[in-house]
Amino acid sequence: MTLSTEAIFTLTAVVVFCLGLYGLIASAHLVRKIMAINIMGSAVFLLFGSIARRNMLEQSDPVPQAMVITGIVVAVAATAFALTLARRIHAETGTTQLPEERGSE
Amino acid sequence: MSTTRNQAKAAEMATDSTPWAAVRSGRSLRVTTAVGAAVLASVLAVVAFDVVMNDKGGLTPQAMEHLDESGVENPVTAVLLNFRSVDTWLEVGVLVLAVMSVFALHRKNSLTSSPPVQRGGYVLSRMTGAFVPLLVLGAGYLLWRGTHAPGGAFQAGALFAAAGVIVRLSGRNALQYIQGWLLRGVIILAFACMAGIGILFMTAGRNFLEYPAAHAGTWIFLLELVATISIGAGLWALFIGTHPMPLGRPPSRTANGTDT
Repeated sequence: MTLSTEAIFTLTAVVVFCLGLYGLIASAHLVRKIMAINIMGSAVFLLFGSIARRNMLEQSDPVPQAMVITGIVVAVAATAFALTLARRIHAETGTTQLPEERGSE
Repeated sequence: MSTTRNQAKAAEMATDSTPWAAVRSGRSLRVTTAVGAAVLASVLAVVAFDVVMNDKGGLTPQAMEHLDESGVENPVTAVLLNFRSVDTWLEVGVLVLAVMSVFALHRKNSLTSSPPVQRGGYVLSRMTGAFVPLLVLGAGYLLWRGTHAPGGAFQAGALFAAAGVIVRLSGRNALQYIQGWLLRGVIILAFACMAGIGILFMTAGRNFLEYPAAHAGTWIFLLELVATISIGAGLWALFIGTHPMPLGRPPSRTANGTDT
């Protein structure tokens, strides 16, 4: 059985998404968490790329592609906000972890 | 004050004897998460595989059918700026919101009063002088190309922002030449323009952002132009806002970490 390009992209997206999810939960450092969310977002974009090709027509579905373009800018904006929040937490408390994480380690 | 609250929280965590407390600690947390992620991956793989391989739906036929009346030849641009233009309007709104939130978290530093953190050397300065005009030219090309091929406001805006980031990293304080109100106005321009034009169409009996078919191409190009400028300025402002600089308190009180 040979996998098509779309199938490889789909499976890669799922694996990358779950790696990001693992990083989000397992790492305590806020910047690691933000990076993990970004990795999950990239996996969703990759999945949308393969969804756009699912019809196997001569033309890709433009709607998922447009959503990826919109999503990238939103992801950058959310990342910038999250980084500023993390820096503010560091400025206020001197640590780079959330109180819940600190309580357990 | 917050310290006592944290200590109370820590004490509460220590006395918490539920299984969840054990799960949250150290290695067992990692193992549990890894197993959970692996299970989730296999479930998601089946679902996503089914969607991509077996679902033959989608909006491709509708998009291609109405492409002629959209005013542009590139279907992605048609979706972004015509068929689903409300998405794009709200997306530039999200960018405005993010810029506002980022700078609301700064206590003293405002957008235009933050100097560069480093001084560029000779090579970096010369390279900046060479690259920035090329990036602006490339942004203009991508904007024009978006009407008939992959490209458009988002890609052009990203190039604009990249030009600004290079200027910033080269140590030039470009912000001192820009009035604060002007930069804020430029960032909010696309959101305001799209809202205004959308309401204008509504007063003429059309739907929100439903262009007249005869002039759709012109309207789309105008909105793409302002969206490019706003996205570029917004992304650039986000970079400045998240770039390491004194945030709120003097550095001496925040210097117990390693990342300032």
